Amino acid sequence: MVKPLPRNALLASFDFEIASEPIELRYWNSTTPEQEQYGPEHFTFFSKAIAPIIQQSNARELHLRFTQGWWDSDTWGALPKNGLKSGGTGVEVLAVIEAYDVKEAQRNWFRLSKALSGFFCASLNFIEPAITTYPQYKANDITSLHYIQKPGNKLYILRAALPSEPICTENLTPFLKLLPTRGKAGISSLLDGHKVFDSLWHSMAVDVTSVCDDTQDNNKCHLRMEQSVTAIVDVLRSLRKHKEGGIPRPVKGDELRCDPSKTHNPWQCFPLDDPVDLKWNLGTIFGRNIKGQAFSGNIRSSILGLKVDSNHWKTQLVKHKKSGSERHDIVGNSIAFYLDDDIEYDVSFETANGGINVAPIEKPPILLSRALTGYSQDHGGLRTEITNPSNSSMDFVYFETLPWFMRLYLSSMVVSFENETSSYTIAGIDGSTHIKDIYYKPAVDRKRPAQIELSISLPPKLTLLFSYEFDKSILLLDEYPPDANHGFAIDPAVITIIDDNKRGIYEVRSTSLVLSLPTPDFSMPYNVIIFTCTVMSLAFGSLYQLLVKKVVTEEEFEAASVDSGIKGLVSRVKSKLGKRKRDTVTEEPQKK
Amino acid sequence: MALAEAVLRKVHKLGLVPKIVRLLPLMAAAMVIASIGSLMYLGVDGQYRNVYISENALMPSQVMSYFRESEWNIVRGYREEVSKLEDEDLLVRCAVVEGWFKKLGYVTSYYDDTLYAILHAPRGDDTEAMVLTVPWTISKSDDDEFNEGAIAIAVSMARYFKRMSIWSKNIIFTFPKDAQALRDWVEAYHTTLKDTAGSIDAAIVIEYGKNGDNFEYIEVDYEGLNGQLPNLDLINTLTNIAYNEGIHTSIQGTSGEELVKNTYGTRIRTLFYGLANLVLTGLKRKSGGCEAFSGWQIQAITIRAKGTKGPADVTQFGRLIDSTFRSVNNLLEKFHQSFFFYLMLSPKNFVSIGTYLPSAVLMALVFALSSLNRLIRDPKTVENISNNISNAIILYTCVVAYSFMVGELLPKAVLSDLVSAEVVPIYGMIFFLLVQIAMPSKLRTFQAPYAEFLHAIFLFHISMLIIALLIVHFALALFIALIALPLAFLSPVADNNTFKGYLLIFLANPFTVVFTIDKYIVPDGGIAYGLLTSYTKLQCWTWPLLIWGYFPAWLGIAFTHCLTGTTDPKK
Repeated sequence: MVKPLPRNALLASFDFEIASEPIELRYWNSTTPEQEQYGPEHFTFFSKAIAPIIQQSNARELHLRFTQGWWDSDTWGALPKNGLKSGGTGVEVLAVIEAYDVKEAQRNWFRLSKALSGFFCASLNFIEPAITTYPQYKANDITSLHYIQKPGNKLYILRAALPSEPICTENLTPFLKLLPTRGKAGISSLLDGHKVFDSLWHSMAVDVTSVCDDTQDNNKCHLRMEQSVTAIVDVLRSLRKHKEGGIPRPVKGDELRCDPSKTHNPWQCFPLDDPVDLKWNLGTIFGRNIKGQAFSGNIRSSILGLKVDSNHWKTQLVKHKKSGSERHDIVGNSIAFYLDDDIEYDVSFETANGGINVAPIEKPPILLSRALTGYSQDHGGLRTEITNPSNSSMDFVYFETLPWFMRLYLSSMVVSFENETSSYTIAGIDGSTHIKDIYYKPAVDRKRPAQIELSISLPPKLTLLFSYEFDKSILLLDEYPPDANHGFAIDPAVITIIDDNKRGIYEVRSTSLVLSLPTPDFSMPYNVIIFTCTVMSLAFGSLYQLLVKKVVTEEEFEAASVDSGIKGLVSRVKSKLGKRKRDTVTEEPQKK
Repeated sequence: MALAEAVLRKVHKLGLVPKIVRLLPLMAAAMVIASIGSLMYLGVDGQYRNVYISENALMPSQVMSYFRESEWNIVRGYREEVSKLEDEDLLVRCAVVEGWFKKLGYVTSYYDDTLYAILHAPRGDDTEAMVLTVPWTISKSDDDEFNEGAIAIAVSMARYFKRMSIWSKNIIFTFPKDAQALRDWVEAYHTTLKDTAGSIDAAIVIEYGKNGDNFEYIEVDYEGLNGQLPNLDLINTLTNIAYNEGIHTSIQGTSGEELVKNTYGTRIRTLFYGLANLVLTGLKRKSGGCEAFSGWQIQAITIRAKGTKGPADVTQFGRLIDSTFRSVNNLLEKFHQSFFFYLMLSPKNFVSIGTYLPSAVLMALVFALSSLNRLIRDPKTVENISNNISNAIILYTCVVAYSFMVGELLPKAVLSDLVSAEVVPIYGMIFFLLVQIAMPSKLRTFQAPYAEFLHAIFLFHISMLIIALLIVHFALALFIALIALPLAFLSPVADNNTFKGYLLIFLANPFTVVFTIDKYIVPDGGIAYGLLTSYTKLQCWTWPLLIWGYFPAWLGIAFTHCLTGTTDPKK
């Protein structure tokens, strides 16, 4: 789906749905050998690479998010697909795991994350108990499964986020490998790492769910995978790169677009806004054309959707046939059509004032921002602001997880409400009628993070502000990252708007935060050791000399040394030998 | 115990101890000379070091800045529009500039009257930021010159930055009306502000008045509040970039020929101006602006274009900012390499803390030795300690309590316009002098041993204050040592009720010093007002340190002096 946004941005989202053949979902017991648990299985289009990983960790659902960038909700509006397919900065994993107890669920979870780590080239292997949470608010979102677990087993929801993980092309390649087309045909052929990641914001999602048929055998299920890539592309920059290369050289003098109503001569130019009369096509933005349909012969395998304001945009579908290219006008504001031929497709866009006139932008239903406050090395604060800009009351769950080295004081929590005219503050959350419920699981050092879930019902046009304070812990030596680092990334907070059935219908995340902990200068201990040793040896040497040394004359020394050490020994031996010699000498004459 | 014992025996034999005791005042004087001498010696070749970039990631001047060619037309285009705003009301100005930023796609917001705009780095994680501050008026001009060039450059830069996709840190533009507004904004950013962009790593304040298309050289301010300095790497980065652009850098007000000269004279001048400016930061009415970022772990400098004749042109000023931001953008960590405690001798030479610290240590020793001298000069002083100690503690407590009261009340009185800040030092000078002279002889009852003992206590107090302060705020420690110097050479008995005694005490009176600086050294600097209000307004600790730290010692000595009996009880 392609949708031009204000300021010459372009929202491009690629969605793929793949389902496996019905397979029998069995509880994988790690003690039984593999061959006994699985017979030959056929997944058809479903990736053979990922299915065993999911099966062997007893994951019934798996959700992966790779996101980078800051979502400009003022300009771009609500998140695409209600935010349900976009994560926070970095990587996010959520899995529903079947197990007989928490310990077993954890074991499977770490197994899963380690396998995925290799698969997606992401540091998912750094998922450990200290960052794993068990979100409560998600409990209502997994009932759609129809899966009946083995007697005695339960489903556990586990979640972890790695906000400092950079997302790049190496994550896209395994993503494309999951597709049956391998990114070679259909809309996936547009996905080129260099183009997708040169965007203003992008998000990749992989959702695997088990969909079971509840009328028949409960364990005959489809593994269903939804993959999506969403990116906001800066059209002007893409075009400039295409034309001039990556370096933002100054515009040539005669190409300057100056405001004619202001002074304007060869030496002076008040610049106009970005050009609005643009002509471009998908091929220039993504570097290639769409290579036909996903599966040759299957005319319903690829759909292309467009959302434009057709009063101001002229869109054409370009078919590159062997006989030459054909251009077909696309009529309508929001249309989707099948790519039903085995030829290369392209879409051209032309607008006279498209910077302003685009298909309607959906207003974000809720706004969330969070910032660190304070500056000191030993403590700080967190300040969160949630605004309901809509005209109706909004029920949502605020989910936040904080690492154990942020020692949180919930007692310091101050909640206040603000609307356009007034504001009032209450101390603590108990006094508020808008905060319905609170779930708080305090952190345990090095074992688990703090987890906060607030059920909030926010009246229209109201802003909820809350802040609390925390102390910063000092880490053990080997817990500091080995390399240069900005600080410790704190997971983005998540807001999930829920409907009457408590199901999530819209998700939005705050940006991640960077917390700087008191970090020792690691070269310092080394310096200190060297300095102290030097000083000690110098001081000890001279002091010891001062204390024990005695000044004596040479004669005294020689006299003293006669009876000590080697000299003493030698002289003793000598004297003995001498004695004998003397004896023999004295004896000899007697013989005469 | 052979040699040590021999030495001790020799010391006894020669009677060195009483000789040394007699020589204590002389030794104190020698230390004063040594202290000043060691500072002066810093300018000699071999004592200072050449600056260098310590953090490899910075890589200054390694990339070509493209803020050139047709960007020049754009700066000029914006400048004409900016110049039309000069006579407008602040809010009108802000609205126009906000409009430009909005059109460029920036998120704009206000805190009080301070407009700020945020460029969220494309694909960035939105956790760190760099700040470009453009005050509406130039700080170091007499007539509040309109910061026309800098605003035009800032808007053009905003346009230029937006085109690049390389930013890993957000960029914030702020337009404060003065230093106070900027300080408030910085504080709000870290406490209550709604639109934020992560923790700020570095900030640059730019001033480019009506210099036109060309300027001669740049001037860099870097002093922060409370003796804080930006990481030396940031200054080095800038000077390095300026050097590669062929622009001279001036620090501590060097100008003209001195820009290219690097002699002992220029180095010492820069050193002492630097020390003076460190003491006065936060107190002056017109400030560079970069000190507003102090205390929040933000490295900040002010860059000011000087002269109108060239050879540098306006886009070069932009390139300095661009390249510096590119360097900071490279950083993977907060600034932590290089030095935070240093004194500059020229843009290319500096001395680090280890080299200059001894001079303040020597100064602290002056007071410690003088204190010792007062205590052991006359054996009676030590003999009577047990009798005097409780009275001394009471007096000490009273003096400290009184100083705290004065320190609290005076700023309040000034801030609520009850007293004019300019007259406070005059009152302070005259009031205490009159009280001393007019002290009735009936009250002059302190015996010599008691007076000597009190003197020793207060001198020791000064010594401790200097020791405590010298690492954190070297310049202020040295400054307090210098103003307290007359007290070290004052004898409570010998100088009692003499002109010399009153003169020394008068000279060491903090109010006299403030008056002198306010009236004669930095006229029109608003120093007295700044001193009295900067703690409340800027969290600048100069006033508390002076009035809670040094003033009790001065007051104690002044009153011991005037309460000591004029007649020797022996006679």
